[in-house]
Formats: sequence, structure tokens, C-alpha cells
Amino acid sequence: MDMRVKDRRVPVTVLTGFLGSGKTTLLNRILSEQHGKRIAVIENEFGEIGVDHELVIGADEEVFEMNNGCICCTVRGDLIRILGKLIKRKDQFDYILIETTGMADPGPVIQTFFMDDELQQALRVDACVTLVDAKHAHRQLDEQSEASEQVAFADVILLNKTDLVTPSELEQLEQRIRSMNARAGIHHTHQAELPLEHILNVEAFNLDEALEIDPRFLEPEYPFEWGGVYALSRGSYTLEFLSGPDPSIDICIFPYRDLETSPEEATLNEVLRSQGAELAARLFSHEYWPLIDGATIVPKQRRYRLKTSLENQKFLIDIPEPGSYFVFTQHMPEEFSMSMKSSTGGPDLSPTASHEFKPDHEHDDAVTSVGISTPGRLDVELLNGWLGTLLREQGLDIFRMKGVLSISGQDRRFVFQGVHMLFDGAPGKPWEPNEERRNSLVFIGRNLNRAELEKGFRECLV
Amino acid sequence: MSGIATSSRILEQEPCAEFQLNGYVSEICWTPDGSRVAVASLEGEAAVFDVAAGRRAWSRPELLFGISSAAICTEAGLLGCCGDEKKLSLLSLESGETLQELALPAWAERLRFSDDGALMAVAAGREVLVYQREGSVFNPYLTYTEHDSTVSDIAWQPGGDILAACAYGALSLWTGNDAKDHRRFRWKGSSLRVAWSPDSRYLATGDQDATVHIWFVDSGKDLQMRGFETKVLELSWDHSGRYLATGGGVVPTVWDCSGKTGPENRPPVELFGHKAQVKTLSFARQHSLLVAGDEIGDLCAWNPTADEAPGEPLERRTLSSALVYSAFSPDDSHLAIGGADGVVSIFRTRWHERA
Repeated sequence: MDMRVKDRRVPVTVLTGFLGSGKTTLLNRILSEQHGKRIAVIENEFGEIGVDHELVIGADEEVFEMNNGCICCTVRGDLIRILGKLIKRKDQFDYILIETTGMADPGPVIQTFFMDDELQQALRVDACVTLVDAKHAHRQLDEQSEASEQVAFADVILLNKTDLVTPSELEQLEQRIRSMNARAGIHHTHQAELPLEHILNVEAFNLDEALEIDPRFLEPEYPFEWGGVYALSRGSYTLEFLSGPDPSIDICIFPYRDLETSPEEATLNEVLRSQGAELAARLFSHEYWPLIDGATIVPKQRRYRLKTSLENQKFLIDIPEPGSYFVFTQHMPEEFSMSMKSSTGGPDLSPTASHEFKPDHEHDDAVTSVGISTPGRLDVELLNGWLGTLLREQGLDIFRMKGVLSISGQDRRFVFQGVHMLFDGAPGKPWEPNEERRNSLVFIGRNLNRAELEKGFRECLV
Repeated sequence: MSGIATSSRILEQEPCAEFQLNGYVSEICWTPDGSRVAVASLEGEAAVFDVAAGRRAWSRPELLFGISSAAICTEAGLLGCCGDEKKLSLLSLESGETLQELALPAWAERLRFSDDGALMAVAAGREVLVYQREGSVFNPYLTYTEHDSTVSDIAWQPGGDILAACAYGALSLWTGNDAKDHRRFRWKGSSLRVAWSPDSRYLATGDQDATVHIWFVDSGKDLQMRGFETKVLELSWDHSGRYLATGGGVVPTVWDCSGKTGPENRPPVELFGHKAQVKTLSFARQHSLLVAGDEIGDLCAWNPTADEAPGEPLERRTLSSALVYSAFSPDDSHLAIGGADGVVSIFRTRWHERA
């Protein structure tokens, strides 16, 4: 007899994959198959105009759209809210699918389920399924850290669009993927075709493995990367920096006595990671005080921004009374060769305790989206000409484009998707007689010129 | 949803009215005269109940895909509802008929009318849209933008036209006559709920990281209260503005905010009686009475502002479902309790009779 207690929590599949890898195709396949599940779909879009929901086929499933930003960043709050509502309507759904943006780091998305008690009690992560575009994967993995994260975190990997590469290219790609993630199940697919038992309810996600990939997986993110505690006597000290990768570094220094704890309650390291980090997080929320080379840092509850554009700069610290002092820095001290010593000379001081904190993660800022939403009808000849030129000239920088268009003379929407220089489109739902015919399209890529894209598009209108 | 009361000093033994709604109760609001109560559910039903007659005045079972928030504007005689659709509906309070529908840029989390009924604010995505009333019609007026993420809650200043909006990264204060932000209290965290103290001295936020912030509105100084078990979604000020009740776990806490430094270095009063996570708590509107409901259906009431430490709850009873919303009528003569099963129970208060 199987005595295991059945986990009655609603399973959640996190669907990731770089831009254009076929996530929406897979989603449509899942929704159109007779699986008997009541699936709630959460769509997250990177683009500033939501069009993904138009690409998802009409189905009984409810599609929850999130396009206020990337799901792995500030929109995690949205995810918590939407899931929070879903679990209160649990009679309606027995499976949840989250389609992330192609730019999403899946780690923080999955982490959400372990950071919120309400969600943890009601939901379980079944698997992180990652689609890989066999044609463009090498370039994406070379250039975008998010693509590597998606592969690393995957429990199931679909090497999709296998028809666009040769068998030897596919083998080479699989070796590369396998070297990044040896435990995931890898499937070769065309049009994301794969029996659903390989994707849904596979119970493949394992928290311990996630912690192996990222030992700080469950730690909260902080606006600083490092904290240390120094035992200092009364007197003057210097804090030296060499120029680093950024023109400035934010820092705060405050005495132990500012914390609501006493030394006998916990070790210095514990205090550094708990009360010290909490106070520092508050200080990093405050406006900063700018300081330049030679200025004095007063150890108090304040965030300083130290200019580090010179080759070598020194800041003074006046310590009014002996004791332990907490120092938190925006970046790792070694990036700026930070050192502290007494003004009277002597060796560099070492912290008595230190800790590396999980910093806020950042996206490649050069990757942006341009959304165009305008009513009207398009001349198909002009549109083809414009898109053809655009993809020839800027195809490498356009990671993804997708949209729903109103073509003159056509009764149905034209739904299209493109990845780099590849383009695919098909007729969609018919326009209703009194419906406003609106064109919505989004470009996602690097170095996009909004004005030029808007101008080019408008010139295609009848 | 009537159940067993182990003590009954605050509420009548049986509810005077009970109504079934389709789905988890997301909001309960009373008309100012206390004669009717409007309710909404996450399944998208909106309804108004005549409390004295004990009957349903009207119901709109599938008004929206889901209703996150509802509010009454008596000046215009309407009930506003918004939620998981890109529109808000303004319904006749009398008949339930749709009077006006307004398109929104995103799904909406919260809808609130200013105390004088002149302005309506809706938090939709990263924006807060403000509408101005002309007769019974609301027209677009201002849009507050530049929030770092989705606005999770909004609250009008009591009797005023300053709107507080909380989102990840900051608590923003906007004025009702200008689209520029009035003030911004920055905080690198996610605030989920915001509540003004009745005297406008404080703004309290309940946060995702299991903390509560209390902002001194004049100075912008903030205090961060820690020690909660979970994220804090339950906040309620007493009528004097001195006490703030907070949830965020099994044991509700009450913070004394009197004096220059407010609750700084002052331990909160802990209220014992629940055995499960508190999901709703409300101070009475005019009396020193706090009720709290939890996820296993227990309802407890205390007077946490009395000089002596509150011991056993003054009232404890078990209802049949998780209790997720509570609201006293304006004169405290009734208490409406909403459940996760959609049942709304209205109890007469005994406390009110004694007072």
C-alpha cells in the first residue's frame, strides 16, 4: 500500500524560453489538446503593448495578462497578486501555466513560490520547461545571460525548430545544452510537438537542485552586494578605492549600537545578515549623500554615494567611539579594490565578519521594446516592403517582433511573429462588423529606434 | 454561516441576516445610513442587500470576470466595481443597472471615492486614474503615473483630496487637483495595503516582507515594525487615530501611536485567541472594539485600548468558513462578516446597545 500523503497543491508549470523559441506555440498546443484539465494561464510580456493574448488561441482557459514589466523583476508582485486571487478561486482551476517573457530569469519567478506563505501552501512548482530555438540558440546563449539561466534552471528542455538545423548542428547544440544542465530531460521538437505527459504533471522540480544551481536561490535580494563588520577604535580611518567598473559606489557605515540587539543575542555574522542587512536595506532606500575624493564619511544612518572616477581616491572616516561598525557596499569591494586602514598608518584592516548578499538582478538595459498601436488598415504591398527592408538591415538586432495587423481588404486579423530574420504569419480571428480595426505590434531588441519604426509603420497605412 | 459562540458579549447569538454570494468575498461596504450593504466577490458578483428587510435588493452575478474592489458613492447613488477586466462599472445603488462603464489600461486592484464623493480613483496597473463627478457621471480628470510597479492599493486622505498610492519602491502621495506627485516616500520593498489614520497624521502600509511601515506624514520619517509571521494585508485604525491594528499572522497586534514618537520603542499589545492565520480585522467606527476573523472561521473581539492588558477575547465564535472580510456599519450597530465560501453574515452588536 502506498502510504505517501498525496500533495493536493495545484501544480504550476513555468514555461520559459528565449524570445521566439516557440513558447506561445507550445502553449497553444497544450490548450488545444483534450487533457481534461482546467488550466489557468498567466501571460507575461516584455513588450510595452500586450499582444500575446491575441496569439493564444480562443480557449475555455482564462488568460491572465501581465504586461507591466518583466515577471522576474518588479512584476513578481503582480504574479503574487494574480496567483493569490487564483487560489481563492481554486474550484475553477486545477493547473496553472505561467508563460514568462523571453527575457525572464526563471530563478526569481520560481523563487516567488517559496517566498510567499500563502502561495507555498496552495501551489507547487511542477517543472520549469524551457524552449530553445535550435536555429538561434548559440547566439542567444553567447549574448544573453537570461538564456543561460533559462537552460540552467530547466527541468525539461525542448530543442525546438529542429527542422531549421542540420543533424550535426543539433547534436553540437545538445552537447552544449547538456554541458550547462545535465539533469534536465531534453526533447527534440518541431513546432513544439511533444506528448503532454512530458510537460505537465511531471513532478520534476526539485528545490535542492535549484539550490545547487544557485545556493542563494531562497535568499532575498538586496540593493547591496557586500556587508562587513569592522572592530574600530576611536580615531580617524581612511577608506581607499581604485577606479572600478562604475563611476560611483553607494555605501553606508553605521555603529552596532544603532541596531535593536545586543552582542550576546547572536553572533556578529548572524547580526550582519539579519538586523544589519535590514537596516542597510532601509538606508539604501533613502536619498544618497554625494561625496568626492577627500571628503569625510560620518558613521550614521545615511547612504553615501562615493565618486570613484579617479584612479585612486581616499575618504576619511571619523570614529567617535570604539566598537563594531557595519559597512555595506553596493558592489563587491574587490571590484574597486576597497581597503580600510587607520590614518596613522599600519596594515589594511580586515572585517571580523563579512557576507556576500544576493543583489537585485539586472537586465541588459540595451534591450528594449517599441510598441505601436494604431487604428487603420495597412497596404499589404507597402507593409511587405517595409518589413523586408527592416529585417534585412536590422534583423540581427530585432530579437523578436509580433503583432496583430489589420490588412486592407482582409476580413480577418493577420497575426504574425518573427525572430531575427525569420518571419511567420497567418490569418487570425475575424474582425467584428463594428469593431475598431487596430494594429498592435511590438519589437523587442537592441538599439531600436522608436521614431524610425513608428514612421516606417505609419507609411504603410492606407 | 451561523455557528457556535463560546461567549457572546459583543454580537447577538444569531445573525440578523445572511446572504450567499458566488465566490470569495472581496469587499463589503455599507451605505452611510446603514440600511444597505454592498458586497462583491472574486467570482465577479456584485450585490446589494437591504439589511432591515433581510433581503437581497439586487444582484449582478457575472458583472466582471472577478471583482477586486467595490465602493459606494452616495452622492451619485452608485456602486463602483473593478477587477480582472480592463474596465470599471458604475451601477445604480438602487437597481443594480449599469449607469456607466469606463475603459481602463489594465486590470484594476482598487477603486475608492473621496469622502465628499467628488473624485473617484482607480488603481489600474502602474497608473492611478482619477475621475471627477458631474452629477451622477464620472469624467476622466487626471492620471497619476510613474509608479515603479503595479499599484497595489490606494486610499484618499480622510476628508481631504490627497491620495496615497502604494507600489513596489515607494508610497506616493498625489493631490486631487494636480497630476504631479505631491510627495514620495521611498522604500525598496513591496507595500500591499495602505491606510491613513483618521487624523491624517500617519500612513500605515502592510508589506510583502512581513513588516508594517508607519510614515509620519508631516516629516516623512518612517518606522518599520517587524516580527510578523507573514506578509501583512490587514490594517485597521481605531476612530481616534491612536491605535493601529495589524494582522500578518495568528496573533493580531495593536500599536499605540500616541505622542510625538508614535509607536517607536513601544511594544505592541498582542491579542491572543486565534488558532489560525487572521485574514481580516476591523476596528469599530466609533468604539474601542476590534474584531478579527481567521482562516478556520474563528471570530474574536477585544477592547485592546483599555488600560488593562486584554486577556481572553470578549467574544469568540466559530463560523463555517474562512472569514476574509469584516466591516462595521457606520453607527456600529451591525457587523458584516464575509467568508471564503461567499456567505455574508450580518450580526447586530450588543456593544452598541450598551454604549
